[in-house]
Amino acid sequence: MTEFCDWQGYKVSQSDNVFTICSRWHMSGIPVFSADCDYTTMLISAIQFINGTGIEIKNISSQLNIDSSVIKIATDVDVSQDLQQWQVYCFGDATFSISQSNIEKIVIPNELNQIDNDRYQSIIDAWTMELQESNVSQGAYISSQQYLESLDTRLNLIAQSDKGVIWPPRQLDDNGIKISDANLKLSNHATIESWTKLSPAGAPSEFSLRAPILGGISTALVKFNEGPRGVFLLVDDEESQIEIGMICEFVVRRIYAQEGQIRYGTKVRISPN
Amino acid sequence: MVDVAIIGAGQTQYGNHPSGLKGMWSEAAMNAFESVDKNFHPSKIDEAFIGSVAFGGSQLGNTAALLTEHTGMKGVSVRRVENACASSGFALRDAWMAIKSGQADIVVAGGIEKMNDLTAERKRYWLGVSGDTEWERLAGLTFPGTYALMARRYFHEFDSNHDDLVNISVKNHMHGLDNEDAHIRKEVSFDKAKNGFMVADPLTLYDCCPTSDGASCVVLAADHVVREFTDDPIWLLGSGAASDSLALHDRPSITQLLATQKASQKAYSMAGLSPSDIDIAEVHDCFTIAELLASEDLGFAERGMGGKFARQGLGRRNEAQVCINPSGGLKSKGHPLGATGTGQAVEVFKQLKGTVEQSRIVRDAEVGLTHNVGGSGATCAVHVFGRQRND
Repeated sequence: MTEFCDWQGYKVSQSDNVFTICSRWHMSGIPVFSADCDYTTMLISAIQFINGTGIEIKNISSQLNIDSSVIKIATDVDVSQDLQQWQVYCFGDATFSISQSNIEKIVIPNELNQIDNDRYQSIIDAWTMELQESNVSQGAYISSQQYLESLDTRLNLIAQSDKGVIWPPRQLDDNGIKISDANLKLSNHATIESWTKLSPAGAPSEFSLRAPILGGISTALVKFNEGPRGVFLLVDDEESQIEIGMICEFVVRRIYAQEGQIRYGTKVRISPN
Repeated sequence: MVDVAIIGAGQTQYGNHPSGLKGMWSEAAMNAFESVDKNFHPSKIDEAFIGSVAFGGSQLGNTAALLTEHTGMKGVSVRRVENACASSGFALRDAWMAIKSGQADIVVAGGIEKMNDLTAERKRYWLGVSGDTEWERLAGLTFPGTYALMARRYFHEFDSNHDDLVNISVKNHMHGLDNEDAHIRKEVSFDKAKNGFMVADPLTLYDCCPTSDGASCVVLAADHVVREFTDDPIWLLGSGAASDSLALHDRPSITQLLATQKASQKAYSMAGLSPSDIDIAEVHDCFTIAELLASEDLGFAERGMGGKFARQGLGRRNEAQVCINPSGGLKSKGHPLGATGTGQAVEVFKQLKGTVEQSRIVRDAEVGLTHNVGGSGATCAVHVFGRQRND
């Protein structure tokens, strides 16, 4: 029997170098993505899980609909459709396995959470609308260039370290002296220093289609173990009573979509450990 | 060095104004010009500084030239000043500096914002554009969320809770009740404010200022020309301004605004006064937690005692040493972003001259202060005014 454990908001299992990752949500017994997850975010989490077992993956073969450039930045793994030593096998929604050998069937965990049909469809519809080319923020526009410029910092939490730990990176310090390039990977855990939940109507326009469905959006100010602070969307908090001092972990998820492009970033969730 | 006085000040009513930008500015400027005691004509103006965020984007470029042309100021050297919600606080400072430098004798500082002619969806695009967009906005933050983070942290660090913020809301609504220029003129009970609709936990609707249309205008004069216009000027005794990190996460503490502390220390020092000398303070209460923090950062309460200060009603009109937000503040009077800073100066000018509605006058007020914050504290301008000139 395959044992699944919780990992970054998903269910994962390992058996004889076959790694399976599955959404923790289902509709009528079929796994479905949660509001800010897709194959890109799941593959990043799966690779990070595999890395944690001591196995290093450099290349992976996948037919999934993913953003390979985001996966490359987040994991340093090249994804292609060519045959590689490691391959992604996917036979259904929101579940896949990564293996070096051929797989004909994927085991689905039993203990998935039921998602409301209407809510699920509303989220799908919201993303569809958000992904329209014409959907552009008019008041706080972040260009594709600006988004890509900070993507490495955003996904990998890379800080500068020669004059104290600084994140997000900047060019000059408080004395106007140039700082060396970022090279320190911050730890994957931080402490919540404050948090809030915005009402659906109060969410920024980038989230205005999804916030009403989700019942609002939560944000946390966190302090990294290394010292810097950051603000992040707080996710998977349906069953958590958030408190200052709680430890959270970082996960890569969808942030929003603009001009037909999904923009990914780091969010925090209450750490299970 | 030359001293600077306010010789006239006026504004529109804040709220849902029926006029557009030109109409609102004309009304505010006309009210300011007419408030000058004698012999004023806009042809005497040397420079003008107009604060505006240009909310909605209808007039992003050359805002100042467009507006001043409609108020008898064609040909004057003008420019728009933008520092988010502190735009006209900095316009006032720039006007003061223009006279201090000796380059101008009569200068106008003003501000304007038209916010309520947008659809709800378009308005959402424009709220929260003054934070660190790349990081804060993509973390879901607009300013209610940003100040909610500050409030929750404050409650964690100090002896305070949401009831203290409720007291501030109740006080400011009470102060604004008789202000004919205020956006929201109604008293609010403690229970109603405490149990308001949750906007950004822990801040409710009654912790948040409204979005308002409005314009305000102040006329400043050098000491050697003041007597041509009035025998009863209000002297601008001290001006201080400072900046800080835009993003909350780049600040060492989110329960104090260092920009406010620096700006107020400069203003007090220049005026030769201390917090205990202030009779009235128009404080930037975009959210009730902002007033609580300001009561500490401006020196009215010790660090960590702002909650107790509010609980004890120490900012109430004619009941305490200092009256905080006699106009009703941003909470009741309203917050037309770019107009707020000079709108605060209008209130102090009228209070010190005794020309506000008699039912809400602060008795024996001699010294006033304005405190105008941009964003969540990235910029701040503080000014100290007095009926008596500096020695």
